[in-house]
Amino acid sequence: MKKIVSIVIAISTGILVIAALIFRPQFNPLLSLILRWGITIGSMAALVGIAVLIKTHLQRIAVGKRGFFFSLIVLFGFSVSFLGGMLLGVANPAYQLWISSIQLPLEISFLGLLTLILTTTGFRLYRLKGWTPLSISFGISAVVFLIIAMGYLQGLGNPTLDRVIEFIQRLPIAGGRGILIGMALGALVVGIRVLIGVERPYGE
Amino acid sequence: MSDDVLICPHCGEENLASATRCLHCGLPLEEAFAIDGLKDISSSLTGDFVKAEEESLPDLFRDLHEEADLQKKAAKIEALSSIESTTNKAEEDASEELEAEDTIPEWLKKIRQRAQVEDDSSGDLIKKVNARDEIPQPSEQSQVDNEFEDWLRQIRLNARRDSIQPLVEEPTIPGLDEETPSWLQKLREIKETENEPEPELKPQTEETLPEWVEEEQEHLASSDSSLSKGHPEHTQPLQLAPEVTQMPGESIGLGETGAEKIEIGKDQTKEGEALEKIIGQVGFPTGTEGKAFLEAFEQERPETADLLLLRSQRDRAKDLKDMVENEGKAGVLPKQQKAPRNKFFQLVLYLLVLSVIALPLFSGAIDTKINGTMQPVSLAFFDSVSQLTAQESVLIVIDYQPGSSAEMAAIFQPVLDHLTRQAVKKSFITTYPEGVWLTSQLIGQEESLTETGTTYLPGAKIGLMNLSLDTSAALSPGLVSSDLFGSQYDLDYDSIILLTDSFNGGKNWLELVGPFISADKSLLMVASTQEAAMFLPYFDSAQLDGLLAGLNESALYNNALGKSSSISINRSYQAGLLIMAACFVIGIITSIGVKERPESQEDVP
Repeated sequence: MKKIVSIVIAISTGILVIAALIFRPQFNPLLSLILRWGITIGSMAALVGIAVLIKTHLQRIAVGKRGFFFSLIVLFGFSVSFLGGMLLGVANPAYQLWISSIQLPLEISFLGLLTLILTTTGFRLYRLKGWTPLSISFGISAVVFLIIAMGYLQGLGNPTLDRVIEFIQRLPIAGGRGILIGMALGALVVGIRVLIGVERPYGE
Repeated sequence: MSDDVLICPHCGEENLASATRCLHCGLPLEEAFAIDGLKDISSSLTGDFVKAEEESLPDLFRDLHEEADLQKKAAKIEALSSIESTTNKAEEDASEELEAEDTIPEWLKKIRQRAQVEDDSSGDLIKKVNARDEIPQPSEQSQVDNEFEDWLRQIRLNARRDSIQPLVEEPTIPGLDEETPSWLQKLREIKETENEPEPELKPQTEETLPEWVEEEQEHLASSDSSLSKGHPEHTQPLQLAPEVTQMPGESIGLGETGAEKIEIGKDQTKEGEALEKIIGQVGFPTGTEGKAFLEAFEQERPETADLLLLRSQRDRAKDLKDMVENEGKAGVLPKQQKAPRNKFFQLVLYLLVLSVIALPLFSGAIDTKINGTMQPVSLAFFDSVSQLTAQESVLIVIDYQPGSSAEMAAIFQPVLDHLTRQAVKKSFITTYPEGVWLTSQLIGQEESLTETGTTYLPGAKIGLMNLSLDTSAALSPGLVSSDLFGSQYDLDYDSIILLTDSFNGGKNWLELVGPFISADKSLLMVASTQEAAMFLPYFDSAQLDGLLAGLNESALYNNALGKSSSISINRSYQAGLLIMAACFVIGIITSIGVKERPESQEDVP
């Protein structure tokens, strides 16, 4: 019974959204209501996720599990951020400094780490694969685009070279277009499967 | 010839009554079995004797004999012809056959000739049955002879065993009962006989042994010792594994038993020479002939089923023992020999990488003036901003993470200057909570900017859909500037500039909000270099009115405004790209000659 109810709700909601997009002026209030419900449910899901996270770290601290010190740090950072935002407001300069001082170095570090990983992976690619047509073409294209991205060649002021660079930079458009078409077709197929009840991402 | 003893007709010595060959001279004792009045058949089977005997046969026997031969003629012409060449009797049969062929009619000859060339009309099944029937079966006489030989051999073995058994006491094996398997009994017997010293048995049996038995034992001992000593010149010590046990009937090899370390030296050489003399007296081949004979004997000796069974059991027991001993121990894998690396080449590689890293750091902030022209998408962006007037409003969407805020702010800085120059009214909205303070940082860079407030749009993708449907309902009342979002179903602005560092964020805006933007209003985008390729198709399809991607295009945009761009972040960014390019080049160069590994050996990064 639960299974049928969830399927009926999912299919009817999907049909309503599509109808609202097609018959826009008439169905706008209904679509707006559904979207607000979705935002509310999504926010509640985020709160549930935060609660589970806190519970897990509290259990680690209570049991004294190995690495519980990091759980203490997580809970301390979360408490300060949450209470600071609630009490001071998100527009407070002190609160913004607090958040930016934590988040900015973390994200930049992650991006730097990602760059190093990609670089070393590209370096090891040739150790693993050797000289194959795929690896050679990948390496040459990567080097060419990296050099172009540095901007040295554009600074030379050579019109012919600029046209060549422009042509090279437009080459990835073909790949990007193919990716976009693939994504659109995939989304279309998944949407149809959800509408007819074959695909059930909401569970049984 | 008495009942107990058989006198050899050649040497005159006594032998067992059941013996068929003399133990002293080795000649056969078949003459002792000869029946008086009968001639030696073996000596009279050839020659004219057969013909004479046949001629002396009565007519009845001759007729019967000829009749039996005639029955075989038709089917065995070739066989009879071969017999013809060996015996006189066969010659007669052949002559008779030829005579019979003369009497055969012509049509029968043709049929026979065709039958020799062509196959008969019988089927495969019948042929197989016939072939089975045609398998040569031993004649009754040969069967009788074989059975007789086996019977004599068995009698001989029994007699020898009976003669030795009362003299040599069988060792008593403790614990040997009927339940003990045969193979274990044999193993125990072998072990006991190996442990028992041989000289102790000899004095006990010396007095009671008859002369011929002593000689027989000496002969056996000499042959055994010659077998065990092997090559006298072999002087290297041999070490056998303790678990290796000798199987019965198995060659002892070079004379070692168990785990003893035996060194065959000069003393053994002397003993070998003495034994060779004894062997020569007995009549056994000595010297190189004897060695060759022993080697041939070792190679040609058939291995009995018991020996094979015991050997298999020994191997399995050894494997089981090894498994039990190695139980619970960590397996030791053979160390892989690493290919020798060239230290000099490694040093050069490291220096190159370090120089690539250090060069931008120590080169200082050298301004690099970017020349050239902007790309069409950048020019379209510039033109769209240039068309904005002082009273028009622009919605600036902050849709990037703090990690890429430096790059995005650097790219957007000329655009912000341009908007300020145009004196348009700027409003900010963000889909990330961090966007609030990121906007503050961005606005803080422009002192002349008139802050109109920052709006946070919750709900991500769903929030964007809701924004396109109902602007006032989508945004929180406290954060909405009433003069900006006047209309209920249309965003009241003249242009939207989206700042994004991810493809998904830009795609959501382009696909969810873009369709609800009227045609007379522009949707512009500022993105990072790596995402430009994914947004260019939207520009080609007119879903995007302009794109400014990357620091180089930003510098060109600044040049178009009449300013020069030289920022420090540009240098570090170039340094990072240079390092990556250098790593790729070094990887390509150092992998010359490296063959592709199979999938199973690939390392997962």
